[in-house]
Amino acid sequence: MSGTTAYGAFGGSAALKEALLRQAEADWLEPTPDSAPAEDGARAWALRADLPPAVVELLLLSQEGGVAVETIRSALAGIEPGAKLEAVPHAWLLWAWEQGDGLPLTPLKDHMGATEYSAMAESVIALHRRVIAGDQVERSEWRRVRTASAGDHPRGHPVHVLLAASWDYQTAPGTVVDVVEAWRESLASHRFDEIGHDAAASEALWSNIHVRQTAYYESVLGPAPKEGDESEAALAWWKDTGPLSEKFFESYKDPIYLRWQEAREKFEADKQALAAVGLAALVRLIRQA
Amino acid sequence: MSDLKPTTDATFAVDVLQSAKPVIVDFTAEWCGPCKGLKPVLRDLANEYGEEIAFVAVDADSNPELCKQYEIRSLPTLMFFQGGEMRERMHPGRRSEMSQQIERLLGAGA
Repeated sequence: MSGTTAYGAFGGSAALKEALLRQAEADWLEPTPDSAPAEDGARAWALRADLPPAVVELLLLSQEGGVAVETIRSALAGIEPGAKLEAVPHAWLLWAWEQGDGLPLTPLKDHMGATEYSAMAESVIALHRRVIAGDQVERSEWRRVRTASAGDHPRGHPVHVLLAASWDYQTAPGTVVDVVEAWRESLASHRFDEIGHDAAASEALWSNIHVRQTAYYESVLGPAPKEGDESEAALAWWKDTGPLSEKFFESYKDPIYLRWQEAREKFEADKQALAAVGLAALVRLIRQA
Repeated sequence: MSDLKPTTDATFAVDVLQSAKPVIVDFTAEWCGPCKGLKPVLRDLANEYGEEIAFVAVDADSNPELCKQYEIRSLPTLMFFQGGEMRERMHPGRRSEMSQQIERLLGAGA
């Protein structure tokens, strides 16, 4: 199976489109705290609607990133019956690689760093370009690229976005979930790298917070229970720390923590921007298809 | 696109231990959130590697004997079986990360 299965959105029927949009509304097109069932429902719906599941997964990811359900609804409504969208998720990756519309770490091709990573990423992009051009890319070719790129690459490096994409989207439509997750992870690493906050710094920060937090709880609630103590008194002590936690962090002004918090807020903003800008690009590509 | 084939205390020996192909066993439960998150990943991996590897799921709530035997302490737990033996506990992750583990295990067993 290759990435060239021909889809005709909603079987080319406006009436079917209307019915399926109503069904999407009822089945999965509402925010849910548990994304997995929504993902399951969306994938099954995509197949019924003759849409590439990867396109619908990308829409869901935008929703998860904070885009309003109304925007997703309007993106779905904008798909013309009969539109052939099988190349769209591949074109979306190419957009991230070559453009990115001002998102941090874009275009991704400019952020590979080592030549080795650029070469790996290019080999993945080359297969996506072939799918966009209508070529039949065999699963074995994706697998060969994946195997050749295997290795212990630094966590949070943007090359992971491309490595996550080294799959036939027909066989593994959830690949786009990994692509977006890897991109988010790169954005987080980028923000924490900016303040020089690495894994060791993170461990030191949270270990320090744990010590101070426990001291604060003990000053209010008395001595903390011993580790492994599951008595009622111990459980009550831990339960009482709940309301104190917020107070602790409100008054915790350690400069390293404040910088960490600022980096985290920047990352959250990046994540939302990725959802909004990524969706705008997706909608554009759907219209051009 | 279907869910993984369920296996039980009663059928595990045939489905897994006597399987001609390597088997990835997913110990899971209906109430387990991370298990639900892993489901689409395993489904995609089953689509990709289904010719070489069997993928089965064990409902931890209904199959206590297997959970005891394989010391399941958290869910989801993934295990790679080959030749009737548990070869490795796998780390749930992205498709590409899991694919690396699979390729290594297949290579090691070749």
